[in-house]
Amino acid sequence: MLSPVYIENSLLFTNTLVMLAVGLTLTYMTTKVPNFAHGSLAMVGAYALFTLAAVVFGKELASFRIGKPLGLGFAAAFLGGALAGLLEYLLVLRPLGRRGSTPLGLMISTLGVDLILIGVLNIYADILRGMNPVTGTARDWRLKAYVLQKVAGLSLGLWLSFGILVGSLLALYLLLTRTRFGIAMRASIENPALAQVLGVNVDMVNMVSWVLAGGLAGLAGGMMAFAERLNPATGSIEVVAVFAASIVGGLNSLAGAVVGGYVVGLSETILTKLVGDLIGVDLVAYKRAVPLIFIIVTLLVAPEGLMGIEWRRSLSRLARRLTKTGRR
Amino acid sequence: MAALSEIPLIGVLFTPGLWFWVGIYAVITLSLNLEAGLTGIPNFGRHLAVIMGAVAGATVPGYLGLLLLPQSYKAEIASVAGLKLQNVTLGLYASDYNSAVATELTKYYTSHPGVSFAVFLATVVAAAVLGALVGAAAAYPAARLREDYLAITLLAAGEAALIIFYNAGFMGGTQGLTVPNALAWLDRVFGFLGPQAHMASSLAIVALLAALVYAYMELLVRSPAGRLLKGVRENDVAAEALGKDTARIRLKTLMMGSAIAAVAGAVFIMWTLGWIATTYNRVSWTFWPWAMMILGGAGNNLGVLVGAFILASARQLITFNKDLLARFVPFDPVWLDPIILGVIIILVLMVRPQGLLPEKTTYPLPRDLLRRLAKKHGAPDEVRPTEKAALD
Repeated sequence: MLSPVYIENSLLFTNTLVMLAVGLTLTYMTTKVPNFAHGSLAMVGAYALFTLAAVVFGKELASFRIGKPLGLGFAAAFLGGALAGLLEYLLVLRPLGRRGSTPLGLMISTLGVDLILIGVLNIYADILRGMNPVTGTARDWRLKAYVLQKVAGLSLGLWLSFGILVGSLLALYLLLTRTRFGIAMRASIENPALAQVLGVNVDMVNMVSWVLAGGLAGLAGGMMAFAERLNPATGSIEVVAVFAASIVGGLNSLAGAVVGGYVVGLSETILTKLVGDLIGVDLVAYKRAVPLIFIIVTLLVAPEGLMGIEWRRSLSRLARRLTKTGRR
Repeated sequence: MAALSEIPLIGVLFTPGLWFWVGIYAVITLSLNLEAGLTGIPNFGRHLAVIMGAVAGATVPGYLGLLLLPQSYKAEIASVAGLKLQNVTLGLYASDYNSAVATELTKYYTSHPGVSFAVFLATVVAAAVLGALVGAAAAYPAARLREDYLAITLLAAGEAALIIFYNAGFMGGTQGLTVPNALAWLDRVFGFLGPQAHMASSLAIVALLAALVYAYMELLVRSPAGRLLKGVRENDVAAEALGKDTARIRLKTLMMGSAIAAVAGAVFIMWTLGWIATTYNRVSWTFWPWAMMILGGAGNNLGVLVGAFILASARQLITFNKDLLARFVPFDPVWLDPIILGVIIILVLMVRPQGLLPEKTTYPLPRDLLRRLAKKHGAPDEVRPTEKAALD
């Protein structure tokens, strides 16, 4: 059956998925690019955190305590991810867009960015290994101390993970609904040409969306270190699940990305375990196939995602059909 | 050959291994060109078909071989593995005794070239059928989804297949398999080369395959069917208005392309004689072929060959000069491999999106011959734009 540790790990994984899906959806909404490098942006953040923790503070990750190192670590994660996101937009996507590249070309270029980031991070990890005197590693690391430490019955990592997630989502919500810039951003998502005519700097909006998406991905990379062992390539493995979460949410709604993230994440972890126990097969080994099933089913059945379905109408239609067959 | 391959830096260009890689990538990239370059289906799940082919390449020579294996060889396996003869069953192939089984099967194939040739043919056919099946399955989303969604779906499908076969018991699970040599019949022909015989026979097979696929693709682009594929790519609404069933054309294209890629996957296993699922990742078998196609020129078969040659060589050059590079850099030089791939993809998209050899109009016959034929059948003289300007 489900052990508390398994549930905690599932939630830790799902929270990072939600965080990543929100960023992926944000850049898709503003610039219409499906960013395959999103997972690797998270790893940029994770390695920024690792650099601070293991090299600058010189602490062993197991004894890494809450406080200044962790706060600065996550700040570095945000900044690292944001910088990488901004550079991806400024150096690759904007020039390509101005040269009239097709949507497919833009998508392929993000695959290229992903590969470059994987290579650069691996090189960085090789160099770090030599610089890190305490642990002597730069691969397969995780912030395990936070998962072991308990606060009010739950692990500290889980509290932090929820705290960072809720805090970021709240900040994003306030930015988009309560500030002039946020409203301009929503306007340019809705209709870029019209927003431009009304004096919105659409290019600035796009840049900010890439900074925010990169920053959120960076934080997610840090959070991922609570959930699993990290390598430079971890992000590009997880990116399939992130796409699944965004697609289930419809790829055009941030709230949808949150819902999609929880649906996909919890299905991949908890549902596979429960169903596997029920039918007596170890399905957990196949859990990474779950996002694929979600992608295919969503795109073929409800391509607009969960947020695109008119729930009231479909439910009443279903109810009508059920009562009709009942009468027969 | 041996002397040339000892040249520093570029010696790898003279090794047969490099040419095997060029050949296998040429086949896979040509199959991608059929789908993405000519017909405009962005198949980001090329590795899915390659995996299916590799599965055929890893299972057919083992399981079919065990079915055909005479008792005397089975007794040999039993004695090596310390089992009773009746315990030598099909399940033994993907067990701890995998390498003993594979060794014995290879011996059997070597002494019975006819059997090994039949197994080889069965493997190729099985790979093509499996490939065509996944191609047909991919046609379902391809008929319904926008190109970026389709790309995500097919990419995810490939990843899922990788996970499933990585955990599949009959494929040896995470341990992988040692595969018996289905090319033993050809190795005998090249027996005079000694230890290089297997390399030579693999190279011969891949060269034959690449030549066949290239000839097929060239005939295709010159035929009405090739022009139809380009028509579907450029404007499928117009093609449909002319009475063409675009869904069916996409289905056929995906089946054909995936079957070709799957055969390449099977041939790759015949060379390496080992299966481990993680080899068939998206970077090696989807992104590299895409980069080769974009670099060479999507839609142009010769360009695709050029792209495959350049990038396969670049990759082998890094691997070959790894130790040399490692002296100058404080990291493992293999990480240059993804960086170079990524930079090439982005640079080509920015600087020369049409590729080194852009797609050209293909004529069914040489142009002069066409012109003469047109004249013979009473067509009016073609007025060239410059002449027309002079007349005005």
